[in-house]
Amino acid sequence: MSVFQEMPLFPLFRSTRLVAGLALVAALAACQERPPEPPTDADVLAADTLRPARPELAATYERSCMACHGVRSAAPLTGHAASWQPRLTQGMDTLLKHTREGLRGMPAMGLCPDCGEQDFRDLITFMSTPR
Amino acid sequence: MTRQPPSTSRRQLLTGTAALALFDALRGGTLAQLVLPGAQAQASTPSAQRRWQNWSGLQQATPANWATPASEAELQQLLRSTKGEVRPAGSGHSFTALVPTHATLVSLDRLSNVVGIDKAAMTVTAQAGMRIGALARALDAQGLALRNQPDVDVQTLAGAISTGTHGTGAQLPALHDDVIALRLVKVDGEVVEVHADQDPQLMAAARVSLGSLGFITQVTMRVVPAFNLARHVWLQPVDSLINEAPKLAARHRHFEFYVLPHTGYAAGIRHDVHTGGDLMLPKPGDEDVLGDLKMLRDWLGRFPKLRRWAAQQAIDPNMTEEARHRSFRLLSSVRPTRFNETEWHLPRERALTCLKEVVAKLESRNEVFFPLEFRFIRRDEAWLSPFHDRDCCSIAVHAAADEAWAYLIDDFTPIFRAHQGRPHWGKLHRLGQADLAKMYPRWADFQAVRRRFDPQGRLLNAHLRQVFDQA
Repeated sequence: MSVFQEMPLFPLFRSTRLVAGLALVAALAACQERPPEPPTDADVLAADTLRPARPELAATYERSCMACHGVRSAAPLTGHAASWQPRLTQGMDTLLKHTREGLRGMPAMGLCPDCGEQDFRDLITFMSTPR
Repeated sequence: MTRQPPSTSRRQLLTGTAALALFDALRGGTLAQLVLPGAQAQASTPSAQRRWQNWSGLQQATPANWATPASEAELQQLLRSTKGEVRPAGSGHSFTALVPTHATLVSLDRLSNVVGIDKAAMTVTAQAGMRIGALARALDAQGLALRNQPDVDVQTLAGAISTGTHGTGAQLPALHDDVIALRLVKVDGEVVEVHADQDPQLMAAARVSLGSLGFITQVTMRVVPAFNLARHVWLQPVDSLINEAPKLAARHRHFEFYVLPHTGYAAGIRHDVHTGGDLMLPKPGDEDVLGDLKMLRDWLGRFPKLRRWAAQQAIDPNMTEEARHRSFRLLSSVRPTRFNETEWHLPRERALTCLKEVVAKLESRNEVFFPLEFRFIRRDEAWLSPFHDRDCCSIAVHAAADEAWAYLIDDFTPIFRAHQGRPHWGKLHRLGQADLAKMYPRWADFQAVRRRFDPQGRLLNAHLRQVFDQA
């Protein structure tokens, strides 16, 4: 599922005055898979306090991951199961590939040039573990 | 599928000698030309030839060595044992080729801690590989904040101040203006401490220096007491918002707006200090709006009049977005959709006239859908600051990362230059020494400092040789 498919369509536009062509797109979009429930303010503030238990990993998480995964964004929120479930179904190997190569807004190597594969595995596992 | 409440928002709106020898052998010997025997620091780097790329993917490089020293001492050792070209990498958020090198690339990501906070002096000292967002969180825990923040906060401190990174606010200068001291490791490994009060000239050179003087390892910055902000985002016809912009900029701590091309509308964003207790985290609708604008382009792009009509029928001018929370949670955001960008800084008195010409040019292209961003920045005195000696407004034009981008330079450079613009150092431009020297009155002074700090030009890559005419 692409990011765009996860996004609600036409929040900029009022639905009652859509032109016919645009309305058709909206109707088609309505048939798409339901996106995960977005994080609440409580989920976002809770993510603020979550850190890996291992100090070295916690330091890496803070400097490399938290800017996007510790806030409300299109990136899956740390500890928020619903946001991570669609990603986890892709399998760890796919997630590692996306991390190394970058995907959508996420930069290649996830802002961690010194990270090895095991670091990435541990960080993904930490972030995707429900709080 | 579910729909969120209507909202409009910001830009989305829319590696001992043995180890080195082994690496060198595996790669065919290129490193032998670059590294002297006895190097120890690079043993700590995890890999040799890995590809670096900037955030948008436009700039790429496969350095012979990509080092990530864990301390200033390791960096010194690395530099003393390395020959040839060497460049620093921050977070990869520059669109210009400031970073790429085939030789030695150095990331300071492991230098990412707060060194100390002086609440009496209201300063923080941090390692320069620390990201803006991480510093902001650490400051908030101490009841402190940065005076302003840029649109995204993943940049390293060194990268941000070295490129003139800024936020918006008519009375607020760019980040580098709050730097009062820094430590810099020259390419020969010597550490230089620069203090604004002891050597203001050297500090004026070092604040915005494109990584051409050395590696900034530590920064001391002024901070302010932590504060909350209230955000209000609204839609308004473009001409009307342009007319009100100076007044809005004067009235609000932070004001900026985005022109939504081919719609006739712009989105205004203001942030003011909020003292109430009714806090509410932002729920940015930027990406949603960007998706809307792209879809409108995809469907009706070939029919610009119909496109505009459809947009005006569909846009609800009464839609707003509100948020109230800590400044660091509101001023910067995460950008999920990659883009390439050019941004120029205009003298404030000419910026709105320039904007109208830029919008007209932008809308002469049917493929355009990314919003244009207009911001306000206070003057400062750094020699290579785009805001040197003049209050500015910035105009930023974007293109999706998977679409054509050359027009960002070709179409708009003449317009920006006609209005005495200076290009953002980190955003797409093709200017070289001949043009740039005329834009910066202290250009020659900076070059003298640069040659003193790096007489062999080892910190210059292809892009910087163009910028400094050292080809």
